[in-house]
Parts: sequence; C-alpha cells; structure tokens
Amino acid sequence: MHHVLPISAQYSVLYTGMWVTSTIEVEMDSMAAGAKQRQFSFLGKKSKDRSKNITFALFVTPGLILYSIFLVLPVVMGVYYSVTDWNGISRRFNIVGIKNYRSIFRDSRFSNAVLFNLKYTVLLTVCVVVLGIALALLLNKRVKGITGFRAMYFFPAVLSALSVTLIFGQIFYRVLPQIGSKLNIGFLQKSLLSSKTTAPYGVLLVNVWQGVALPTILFLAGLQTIPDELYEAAEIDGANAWARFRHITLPFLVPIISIVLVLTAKSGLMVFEYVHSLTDGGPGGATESISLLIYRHAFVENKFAYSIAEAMVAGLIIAAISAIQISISNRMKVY
Amino acid sequence: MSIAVTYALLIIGALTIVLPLYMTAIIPFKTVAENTASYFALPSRFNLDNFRTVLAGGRFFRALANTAYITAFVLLGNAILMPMLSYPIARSMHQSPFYRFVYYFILISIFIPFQVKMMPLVKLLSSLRMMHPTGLSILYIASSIGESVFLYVGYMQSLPEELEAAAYIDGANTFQVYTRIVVPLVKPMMATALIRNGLWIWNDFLLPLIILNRSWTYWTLTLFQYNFRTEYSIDYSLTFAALVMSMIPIMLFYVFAQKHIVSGLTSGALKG
Amino acid sequence: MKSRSVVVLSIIFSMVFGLVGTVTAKQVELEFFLLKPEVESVMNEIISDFMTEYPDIKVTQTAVADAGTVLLTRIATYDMPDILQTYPAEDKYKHMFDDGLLLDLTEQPFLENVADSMLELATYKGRIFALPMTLSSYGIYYRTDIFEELGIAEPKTYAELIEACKVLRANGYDAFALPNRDVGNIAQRLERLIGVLNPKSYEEFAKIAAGEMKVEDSVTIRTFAEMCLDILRYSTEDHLGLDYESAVADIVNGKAAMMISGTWMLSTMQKSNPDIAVKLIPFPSPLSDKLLVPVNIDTSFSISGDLRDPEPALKFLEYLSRTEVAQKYYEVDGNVNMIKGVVFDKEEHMYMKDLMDQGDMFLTQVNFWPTGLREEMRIPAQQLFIDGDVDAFVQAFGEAINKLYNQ
Repeated sequence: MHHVLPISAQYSVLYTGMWVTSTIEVEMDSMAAGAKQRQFSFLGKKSKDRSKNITFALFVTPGLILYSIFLVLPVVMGVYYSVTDWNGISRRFNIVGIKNYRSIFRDSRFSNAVLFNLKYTVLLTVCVVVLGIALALLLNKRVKGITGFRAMYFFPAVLSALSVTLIFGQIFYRVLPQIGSKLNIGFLQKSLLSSKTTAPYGVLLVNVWQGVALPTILFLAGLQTIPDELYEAAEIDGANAWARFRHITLPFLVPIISIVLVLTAKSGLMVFEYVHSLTDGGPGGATESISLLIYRHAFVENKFAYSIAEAMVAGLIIAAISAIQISISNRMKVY
Repeated sequence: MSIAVTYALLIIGALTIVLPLYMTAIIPFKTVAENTASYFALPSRFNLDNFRTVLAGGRFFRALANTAYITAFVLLGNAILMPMLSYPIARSMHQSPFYRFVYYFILISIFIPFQVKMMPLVKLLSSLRMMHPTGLSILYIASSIGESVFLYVGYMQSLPEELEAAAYIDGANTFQVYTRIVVPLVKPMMATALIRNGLWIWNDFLLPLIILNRSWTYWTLTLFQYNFRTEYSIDYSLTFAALVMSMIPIMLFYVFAQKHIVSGLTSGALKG
Repeated sequence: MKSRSVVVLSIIFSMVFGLVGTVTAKQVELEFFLLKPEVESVMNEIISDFMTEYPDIKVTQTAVADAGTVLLTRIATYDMPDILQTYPAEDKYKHMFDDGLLLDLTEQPFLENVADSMLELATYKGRIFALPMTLSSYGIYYRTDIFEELGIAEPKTYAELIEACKVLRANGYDAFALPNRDVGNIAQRLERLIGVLNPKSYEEFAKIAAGEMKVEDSVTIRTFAEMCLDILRYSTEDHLGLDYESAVADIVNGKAAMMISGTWMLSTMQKSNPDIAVKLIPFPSPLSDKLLVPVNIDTSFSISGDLRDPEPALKFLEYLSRTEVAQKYYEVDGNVNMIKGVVFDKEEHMYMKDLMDQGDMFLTQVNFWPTGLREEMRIPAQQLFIDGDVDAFVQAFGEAINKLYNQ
C-alpha cells in the first residue's frame, strides 16, 4: 500500500491551482490525518481498542457467515464438480481430473466467447460512462419540466430484460429498417441483428439503453453536490465550458465514475439475458458470450461438469482483469 | 447551453424512450390478433380483457406479494448487515492484514460467474430446507455481499474520520459511533445500494426459477410473466399485461420517491 | 444503549439462522409435474375428474416456467416429482431410466390402450418407461387460400415445391417465412429435414465418424445445404432478422405463404385468426418421391423410480390411458393422439395423420444422434444462411460428427 502515497501526492500536485482544491484537499488531509489520528488516539487506550476490536468482529460475523455458506461453499462444491463427468442428471459420476479443463483450452468457441465478452465490456463501460455523464449534465439543467424528464429517463431501468428484448426485437426488425431505407443508410436497411458485424452493436444498444439509466441518476446526484460558487468563481476567472467541466465537474464525479466502471464491467462480463433473447449467440456465433455458452453446455447439451469448469476458467480470467481494473479505479479515487 | 438546445437534446433523448414506452403501454390493450397485425398500431377499442385474464385466479397478487416480501426482506437485511460488515473493513484494512484479506476475498465474488455456484446452491438450499421465499431472500442478501462491500467500503474510506475520533473522545463506544455517526453519513450510498438491489431482485428470473419451483404459491412476478409463453411461442398481449402490472409498483415508487432518492443520494455528500 | 445493540444483533442472528429451520409441509399427495404449460388447464380438469373417481388420492399439478430447467435442478436435488411428463425418445430421459429414476412400465396392462406403432417408438432397450400419448409431426404449413387464389396445386414433389415458390415470389409473396434469427428453430429444421432426406442419417454419421466414409461424400448433408439455399432465394428478405413470432405473424398476415414448422404452430396461428386457412403437408425430398412424415413423441407420462408405493401413481396413468380422457386431452392439445379410439378431426393435420396411419413416418433424428450434435450445428447452419458456403458447412458438419461420436 505504500505506493499509494506518492500517487496521491502526485495528484494533489496536479490539482493544486485548480478550482476545486479546497474541497479535495480537505478529503486528502482528512485521510492522512485519520491515519495519524488512529495511531495517536487509540494506541494508548488498550481497553477501548479491545472493545472496538470485539465490536468490529461482531459486526463482520453475520456477513462472513452468510458469505461462507452461500458463496464460498458453493464455489468449493463447484470446483469439485468441475473435475467430474457429471451430466447434471445422473446420480452416479466419476472423477476425471483436469480433463474438462484441458478440453476448454482446445475449444475455439470458448476463446471466441471470451474475446467477445472483453470487447463488449470495454464498449459497454465506455458508452455507459460517457452517455451517463452527458445525460446527467442535461438533466441537471434547471429548466421547466425537468422532473418529468428525469422520471422518463429512468424508465428503462424499471423494465425487466425480458420486455426490453421483446420490444427491441420488434423495433430492430420493423422500425429501424424503415428509417434506414428512408435515409438511405446501408447498414440500417436490415435488422441490426441480422449481420455479423452489426449484431454485437445491436445487443450493445439495447444494453446501453437500459443500463445507462441508473448510472445517470448516480451522476446526477454527484453533480448536485457541486457548489454553485465554484462555477461562478470559474466564470469570473474566464474559464470556458470545457475547462469548467474538466476542472470542476469531472473531479467531483471521479468516485462515481469508478463505481459505475466496476458495476458496468461486471454486467458486461456476465451479459446473458440480452444476447440470449435478442440473438441467442447468432448470427453465426457472432454474439456468443461466456455466460450463454456455459448455459447451453449445462442445460441444452447436458455437459454439466464441463460447463462448471468453463465457468471456473471464465471466473479466473474475469477476476484477473477486474483486479487490474479495481486497482486502477482505486488509484483514481485517491485524488 | 441555451434553453432551446437543452430542450432539443432532452426531447431527442426522450424520443428513444417514448417508442418503447408507447409499445409497452399499448400492447396489453390489444388482442393477440391486433398485435399480430402490428405491434405499433393503436388498439381498435379500449380493451381490458388481457388485464382481466392476468388478474384472474389471484396468482398475480400472490406473485406481487411474494416479490414485495422478498424485496423488502432483502433490502432490510442488506441495509442492516452490509454497512456493518463494511465499516470494520473500511477502517481497519490499511492496518490489519485480516481485514485486508477479507476485503479482497469478498470482492472476488463480484466476478464469479453465477453458473459456477448455481447447481451447488440448489443442492445446498434444498438440504437446508430453504426452498421458499424466505430462504431465497437470505440467499439474495448473501449474494449481494460482494457488490455492497465494494460500494460501502469505498464510500466509507472517503468519509473523514475526525467526527468518529471526536465521538470517541467524548466517550462513545464503537457501536454508538457507528449508529450515530457512520450510518447517517453512508445514507447516500445506502440509497444507491438499495435501488440497485431493489431493481435487481424485482426483475430477477433465474434464482426464483431454480429455488421457488415447487408451486405457483411461491412465484415471483418474473416467474408469473414467464407463464404466458410455451416452448415455442410467447403471448405478447398477456405477457405485456403482466409486465405492465409488475412495473406499476416500482414506477409509482420512483415517481413519488424521486426527490427523496436524489436528495438521499446527495445528502451528506456536502461533508467536511 | 447496550440493550438496543443486543436487540439489533439478535434480530440479525434470527434472520440468519431462525428461518433456515422453517420446514415446508411434507406433501402426502402425489405431485404431477408438467412440461407443456399450454395444457395446464385441461390437465387440471382431468386431475379433478380423477380425484372424484379416486377420492383417496390427491394429485397436485406443478406447472412452472421453463419447466425443463426446473426438472433438471429437481433431479439434481433428489426431489423427483412423483408423476411427470417425459419425452421418452430423448437421450435425457433414457439416461434417467438407466439411472433408475423412472419406473419400468413394460408389464402394465394399460399400455394395451396405446397403438402398437406408438409403443414401438417408445421402446428403449426392450423396455417402456412412459405412457406415450401423442405424436407431433413436422412439415410445411401453407396458406391454402393464397395457393388457391394463385392457382397453385399442393406440392407433392420437390420440383413442384420450387415451382410454387417461383409463382409466389412473382406475385409478391414471400414463399417461406424463415425465422433465421432463431438458432433453435434453425437447428430443429436441420434435424427434421435431414431425416426427410435420409431417415437413417445416424448410420451415415457413424460411418463418417469411424472413418469409413468421407463427409464430403455425404449426399444427405450436401443436399440439405443446397435445399436450404434454394428455398432461401424465395423467402423472407431479412431472414436473419426474423424471429419465430414475427414469422408466424407473416403467415397470419399473408405476407408469406409457407412456413416449415411443427404441429404446435397451429394453435399459435389460430389465436390470431381462428379461421385461418392453413394445411400441414410433408416436406418433399429432392432425393425421393415418397413422402415421409418426421414425428416425435410429444405428450408422455412417467412415474418416479423413487416412489415407495407406485400403485396410486399407476392408477393415475391408467386413468390417462382411457379413450375418453385422451379425447378430452386431444381437444386442447391437438396433436395426433395414439390412444386407441380417439377421434381425430383437425382438418389442417388430416393429411399428415393419414400418412402416419399408413406407416409413412419416422422418428425424428435427434433421438438417434448423440446428445449435442444438433446444438453443435446451430452456428454452422446459421453461417450457411449467411454466406451460402456449402463446402464450409459440410466440413463443419464433419467436424461436429467426429467430435460428438468419438467423445
């Protein structure tokens, strides 16, 4: 953790001379002060320290018990099934060692699915963050009827994935091609889902349409924490709109961006329902995601043990990527 | 940005929402024949038959009650347990290797594909005799740990510790510090976590499917909606009638609570 | 303060542990597990009639969403339903019988109420583990009114079929509505139509897998691919964007005149238009002039092998095998019912029924292919519709055969 300090120092240097230094420095200082204070104020008071430790232990106990029973244990059981030849139905099955894992690395469908998920996730997170911030800025305007617009922009979030995909299936097939023909846009003249090149974007569009609603609300909440005086001061200093966004708005949104990044990345890496009901992995396997592949092997092709092994490998890949991502966003959070 | 441009952009964005909104609203008022002819045309007459069919037999209200029960249970459990679990981690992980380990150990679970644990979970819940709404709720609370800890720990670390230190000096114990100082401060993040969890649970399909499969008395709204499709076809009229009915509660909740949600998200953010 | 914290903690602990112990009431009655949600209400009627006759037996029906997945999870948790619907020709259910999960019904007298040809189809390793009741069949639904209007005769040969396609296209119709966005639909079409070309395709595949034959020399596979591309020329333009629902709508709305599908599609069309003028005919093979109907065992009933006393469950199956009960079931289900004495009156399917009565039918290929072959072919088959590359399709088929036969 010692590398954190130089980075935060670097950031604080970067931020010096910017419009927001005051607030951000308070946070910086408070963190540093907190660390110092902890040593200073608690070390001498052993009994208080012990009661605090006991309270802390009691606080985490219920959560850790739940976690052990419903997350750790099933995963351990999953590891066990992944080295068997269980088909999901039989009451008898054999241990086959790492055979399932070896076949995974020979399966091009699996590597294709991993690649699809990675590309898809990058696009999804970028779209959600950029569009989410843009929409939040728009919805933060103090104009008449804005409450109505806010309610409407949140609407996609309350729909279930089932209804969203049913509706967009119809829009893609019946509405967009008509617009495409009228405006003479080549790729729009057929359903976005019918070509290998456009189908991933079709799925992405639906996912973004629904997935951006909640981040927008979060960004909006973030925007409302920015004191107006900062903008007023900046305006007096002659900062243009971009400078104000870059140096006032963005720094305030950084914590929310890092949250949205992780949560959106998660949904992108696990994407299932959108592909399942929009394309079912098609056309020609162009949108086959990891979750869909695992689901098919488990429930359609009765290769249960194999599907769990696939999920294990996918989990490892995802964990590695997310470890990198979380460490990046943690650095972002240290202003 | 001028007001005209603002409105223009707002309206363009709204248009992409209006068409799906229009379809969702219009489909359940039409007969199957009308929908087959066109999903976009207005109904020939004001027709509530689909809603009547969906509401007949009381299954909808049972599913609504089950879903509301599960959602309330999970949100309550989440709101109590998750900040409690996260607070020690947030305050100790930089000194204590144990809490640091716990943090990352929990974080991993965000990214474990559901399929790894699905079958084991079914076996586990069945042997614990938890294949009912309450059992599912407990499972949901457990499943929300990874994301909640990620959200709360990050947020708590950004909160200044001076207030807590001052309270300790005033003689408060840890539990009092937690309930009087920390909990009010994490309210914005609590709002975020609860909204996310609420929407997830309200619309989740797979877990109820594999856990609450014994009879319709346990059905949630998503299972109820799924009821209007066979292996080969979907009855759009009835499915959307069910969908609209299921959406109304959260829609109303959002409209009435919107101010509180946004202010809940922002309150306490003006800290320091 | 202390007491409040104790209260809060004890609430939490009781939430975690207290409710774990809640036990669902133990069922004393028989549970019937349904796979086909469309017959839920008629099964409820049948069950209540049964309970009037046998007041000491209580049957409750479980009809859940996505029942196939649910059944799998229940088997895995040793929670087999007492009586259940099965598809006895499918691998999954044969495995279940092998594992002792399903009761052997071979010696049961009520099987005498089932037509012999049906029992033959449902026999596995010389045993019968299900009461087989109905057969679904697969072919071409065509709009008789459109054909009449254009003066097209019902196609009996492949050449006539293509001729009909040309006339339809010339008159502005899509000859076929092809829902090629739906990969499950494509895979099913592949499996049923390959059977039409060669009802013993599995023998050919086994030879390919054993290296006795090259996949390039398989007339069956190549003809199938070419046939698909022939039809495509006269079909929905944006076929890769079309899903099953919209394809059915195209038939109902008269945009397309034909659709390759199974008997389950009739009720879907009739929901939109009760008087729709359609007829189901067999798909004519380019390789032979004999018309053959691909059939699959649809509704069947089995009993759990876990039951300590199967007697009451057997009584229920005996009840289901009665002609008047099967007739009642048929009125809603609509498939050809193989319980002796059931009167069949669906004009739309009469032609198929006549062919089936003559024995011009075969059990669809998925029941003989290794599990997963049909699913493995989903992507290559859709790819064929994208690029029309027959050779690549044949190669991919060969790879899938080698992979799944030599597992």
